[in-house]
Amino acid sequence: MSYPPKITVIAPHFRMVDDPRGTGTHSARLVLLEAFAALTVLADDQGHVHFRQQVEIDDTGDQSVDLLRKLTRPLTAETVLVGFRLDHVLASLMRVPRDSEHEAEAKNALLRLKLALNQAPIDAWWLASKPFLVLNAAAIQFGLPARWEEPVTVANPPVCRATLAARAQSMWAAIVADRMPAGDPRRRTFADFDRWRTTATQL
Amino acid sequence: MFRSNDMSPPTSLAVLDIETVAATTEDNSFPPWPTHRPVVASVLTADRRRYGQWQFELESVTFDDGRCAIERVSHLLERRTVIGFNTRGFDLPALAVEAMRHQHFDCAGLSLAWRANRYSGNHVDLLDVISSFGGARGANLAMLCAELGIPCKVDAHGSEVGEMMASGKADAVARYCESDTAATLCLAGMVLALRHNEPTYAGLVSQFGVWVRERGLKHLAAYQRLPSHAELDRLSLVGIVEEGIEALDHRLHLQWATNVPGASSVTKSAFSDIL
Repeated sequence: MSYPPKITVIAPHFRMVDDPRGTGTHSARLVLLEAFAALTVLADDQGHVHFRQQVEIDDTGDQSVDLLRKLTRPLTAETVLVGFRLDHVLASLMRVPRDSEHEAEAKNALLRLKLALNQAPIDAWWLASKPFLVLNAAAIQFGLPARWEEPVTVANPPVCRATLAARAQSMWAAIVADRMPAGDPRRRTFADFDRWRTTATQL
Repeated sequence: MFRSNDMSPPTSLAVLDIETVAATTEDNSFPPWPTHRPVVASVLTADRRRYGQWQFELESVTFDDGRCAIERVSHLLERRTVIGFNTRGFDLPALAVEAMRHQHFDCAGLSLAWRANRYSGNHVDLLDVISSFGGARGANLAMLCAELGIPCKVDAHGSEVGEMMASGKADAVARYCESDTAATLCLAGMVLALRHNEPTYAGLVSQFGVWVRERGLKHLAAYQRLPSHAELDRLSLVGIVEEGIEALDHRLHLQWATNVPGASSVTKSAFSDIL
């Protein structure tokens, strides 16, 4: 498996919903997207990579359509989707509220999402039997905070943004480490990543 | 007249496999099927929920009490399409004989699957389907699974069941039977996707792998990721998105047709020349 030239890494945060059977626990399947970080990484012909990151939080409480539109904006037919439990991410995106004012827009966004599924997606959940360990290790290796076991809450937007951004970046690092063996000259992408991250932090 | 329900693949499945014991024959050939007594039956159910997501359950029933076991198996098969490999030629007739041995005649699930004709939608025998109803003979489950990269019969074989039961390894027989249902489900996902020309149906195999991992079923660990998992994962996600688009389309058409209160203003403007 080779490293793809264009990938969009999605780190989602979900609002949990009570189990409809009244068990007093959260439903394992019914989850609603509340925030996400999307890191798009594009490799050019010279072998350099370019990064673009967006973090979006739903502060309106009506979730989904706006987030869905923003999440799918960078996707094209060449994009390889990367995420953690992509099945949950996609299923939550399908739950566009009924009688929404923007259902036609939502449909366009879903068509864009389907287009991106022309390429085989990568789910970081399968990286190891204990994926948090792998993802935290990848984060530490690249000087990022290991934030996979930290709780996320949209009540504190700056922390939420920082956590999701760090998760998306560590997922990208883990995928690169997985897809490019040590010694691969393409690993110089990490230098581009460090440069981009320093600039992004300064900004 | 036979009517086939071939238009769409089943959305509620019960994959069935049984293990049996029988007295050995003089020439050591496979004993005639009516002499087989079921010892374990495994039923792996898969029900399609909203947005292309499948829900799985797996249960093995031991035949310590034959009557109760038949009742439980029949209950699990009820209101589902029964899927199996050579179930028309062995599993269902053997269960039917066992039910009659116990004078248990009130078992709707088993009865419906057993009497279903080979072209109906209530029972799909994969051996029948894949061999074009006997046109291409000579295949078995292990052979087909090997060709498709599906793990099958790695720990035991049906011929060892008698020995295993005699040495008190009923649990091992149940695990073996469960792994056969897992292999049959994976095969069914691929066969039915092709048969109904619905590629995303094969995503069922990917979702089953996720379920095995979530449940931590160690004896089925080989089914978490098949060699072809990249494409199966993709098909599973495409299935979710396609169902989402279909649901949105449906709602948009409803709004157009009825102009319900709260209908989308975007839709209204899009159809303003008609409404």
